[in-house]
Amino acid sequence: MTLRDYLLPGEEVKFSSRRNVRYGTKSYQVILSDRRIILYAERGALFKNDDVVVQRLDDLQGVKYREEGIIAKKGIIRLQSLRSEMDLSGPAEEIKTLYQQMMRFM
Amino acid sequence: MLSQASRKEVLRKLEAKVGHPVNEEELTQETKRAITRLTEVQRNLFAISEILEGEQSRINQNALLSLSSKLRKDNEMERHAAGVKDLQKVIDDKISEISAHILQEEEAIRSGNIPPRREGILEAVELKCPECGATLPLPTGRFVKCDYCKTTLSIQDVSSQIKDMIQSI
Repeated sequence: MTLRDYLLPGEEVKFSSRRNVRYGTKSYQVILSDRRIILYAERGALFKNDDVVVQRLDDLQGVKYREEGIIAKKGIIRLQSLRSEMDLSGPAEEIKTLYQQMMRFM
Repeated sequence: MLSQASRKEVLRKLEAKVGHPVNEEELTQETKRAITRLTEVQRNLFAISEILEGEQSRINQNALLSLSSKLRKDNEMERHAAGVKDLQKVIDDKISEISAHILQEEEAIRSGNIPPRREGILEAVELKCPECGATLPLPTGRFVKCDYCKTTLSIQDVSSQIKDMIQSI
């Protein structure tokens, strides 16, 4: 399956990360649509499986951005919703761009 | 989410100035439009502040970085933060102006007169790229990139335009 199969009817992709970002212990490509944040990864060398995590933008209560690291800058976005908290991390420039893109739809 | 928070913040400040809760339904179209446009700018200012705080967090967390920043007198971040503070002051001044107008509107309605018209510009003022003149999006970080000529401009480069934009509301 491709990412297209996970999009809702009429859902429009607005931004996709050039590099993968980390969520928990795994890394994903981040796709930002006008309705949701979709974390997408294709796993498996021979038999491909999709790994998809979705967060609705409407459910978000707060988005925090912070940086860490002494030499290499690491950016972290904390997405707070009523039921959960998600930390997305990766190179600061990539995460900052993601944050700025998200701000356009919130 | 951020739009709602910005609107709440603008209304909270308006109510503090007016001295009582503001019922948006009772406001004139011009005043409602002014609040909406001010909310848009406030929203972007919130986003810029969050980015600046996020960048500063890395330096604050680490004693070594903090010391080296002090030694280098690296005050670029401080300049950006001061620029944002300056823009916030312009927004607050505009809120004071709108709140004074709301009081005038309420007074006019109470005495059975037509509420006075606001003198704001009806068309939203847009930011223009100083290099090519194309319309720029409102910045959501320290820098904004022109989609047309790809010039990267700092918030300082466009702050006077943002101020004009706020003042024209």
